[in-house]
Amino acid sequence: MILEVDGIDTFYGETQALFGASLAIEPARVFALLGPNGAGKTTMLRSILGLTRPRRGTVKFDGRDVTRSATHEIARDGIGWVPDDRRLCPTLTVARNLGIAQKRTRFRYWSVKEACAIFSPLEYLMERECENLSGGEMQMVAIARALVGSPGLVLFDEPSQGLAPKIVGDVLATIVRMKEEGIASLVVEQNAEIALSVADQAAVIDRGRIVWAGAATALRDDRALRQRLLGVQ
Amino acid sequence: MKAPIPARPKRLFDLLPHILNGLTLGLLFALIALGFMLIVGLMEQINLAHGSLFALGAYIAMQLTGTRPPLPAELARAWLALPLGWRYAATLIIAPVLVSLVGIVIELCMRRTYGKDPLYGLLLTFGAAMVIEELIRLVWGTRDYVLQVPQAVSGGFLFGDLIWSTYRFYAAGIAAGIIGLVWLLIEKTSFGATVKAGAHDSEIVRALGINLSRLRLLVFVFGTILAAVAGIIVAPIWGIRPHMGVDAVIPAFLVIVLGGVGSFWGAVVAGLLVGLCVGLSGAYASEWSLLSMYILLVVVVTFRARGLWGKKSVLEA
Repeated sequence: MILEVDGIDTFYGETQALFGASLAIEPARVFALLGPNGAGKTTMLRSILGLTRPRRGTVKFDGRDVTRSATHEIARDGIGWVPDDRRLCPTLTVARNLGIAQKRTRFRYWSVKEACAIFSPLEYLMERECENLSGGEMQMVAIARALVGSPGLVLFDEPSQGLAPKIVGDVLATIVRMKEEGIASLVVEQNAEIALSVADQAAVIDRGRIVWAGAATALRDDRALRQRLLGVQ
Repeated sequence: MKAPIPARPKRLFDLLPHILNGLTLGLLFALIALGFMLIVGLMEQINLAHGSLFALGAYIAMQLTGTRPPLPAELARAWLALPLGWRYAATLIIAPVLVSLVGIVIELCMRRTYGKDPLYGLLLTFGAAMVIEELIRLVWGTRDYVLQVPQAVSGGFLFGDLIWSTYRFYAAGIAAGIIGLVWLLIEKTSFGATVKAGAHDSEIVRALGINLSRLRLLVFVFGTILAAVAGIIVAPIWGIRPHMGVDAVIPAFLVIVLGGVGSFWGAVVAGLLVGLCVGLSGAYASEWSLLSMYILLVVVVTFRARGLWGKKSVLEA
């Protein structure tokens, strides 16, 4: 397993957001974590990254316990993050935003050039400041930024949010491409259809608890199950 | 700030010394404000100890270049055998490094205030300023000292019937050079980009694998070094006394309020404006020259607290 989250309880102050949540992701696989708004999806990502540290339970990445590690150490171990609001530094150029994210890990090294080769338009945007990019371009830069960190696992937080269908298609194609390159993904989505279209495994989270986990195809093909778990067709 | 005040100007040409004096003073103000600005802009902390670190730089430099360096007898003899120029050049590096150790201690104490009400950091650095100032009084007493400078940059020269101070031109040149170097570091290096990104969003920078604690320490130490260098450069003009820190921190504060947070050139232009304001008011009413600076501070904070170019006010930091 590249990532094993085992029974974590995470709190914001006194409010508990995750209740004994567990999930396991195999290397070079796409895992979809589905659930409604406020179910604890983003909290799961923040817990993995050590941004909101779990009070109980463990997070293991590539066999190492990272539950108590500092966020920058977890990132240096090889976990990338594509936040839902991209969070690029607006006053820096695309090249600089990618440059500060570049690092070597024990996973495959990605140069800026290689990361940009995946998104051909990026080459022409390198000298543009990020505040002057469109939403789709920002998402491309955010994914490329995760990639140049040479990750073994990338956490995608609502990657389709606010994007045109064509761009969503590009993002999904990139997730598949990354999988072919040996990078696992944890895709957190409200839009089950989008996430399930590329996922190998899936889990459903509701009010901080994992209520279902299994093969993505099971959820994709079983309309009744989907209806029961997610309230969608 | 004791500008040479010639007779009241009658012709425009007579204003030239005042304008030049104002511009050199402005560059020095910008230099003093530089470290202060970096820490406000990049760490959102108002470092009230900036002035005291500035003073400490000047005192340590004075001690090192003086006749009684704080060294073992053998070493002191060898040190004093060096020409003043060499000692001065070495002091320009050694004194800021020593002051940066104090900066490290302040930053380590400040860590607990990050992410909390900025008032905590303000109070902490105010406390640190008081401690440093009292320590200066304890070690060096309350008398005034003079920082020796090499002959090459002291004295004066005659130009257009006026005597000009060589040191002022040297100080202005050094200030301009350092301002340029800091600009290059912030705008053109990957370190500068990381620091900017960290100021904008500390969480994402950590999630990119950057050790934010170390980055903040580096920025603070860098700000401290700039304060000490400014102290050494300004000391021969203002003199060295315990209160010099407060004399420096007020124009520095005015410069960053006027320039606006996050605006590098805003601070430089504001420094020049404040310098010109002091220089020109000195031409017409010398007794008003310092007062004009404080009046400017009150006016700016009252009517445009976000400064001329800033995106938000320093006072919101």
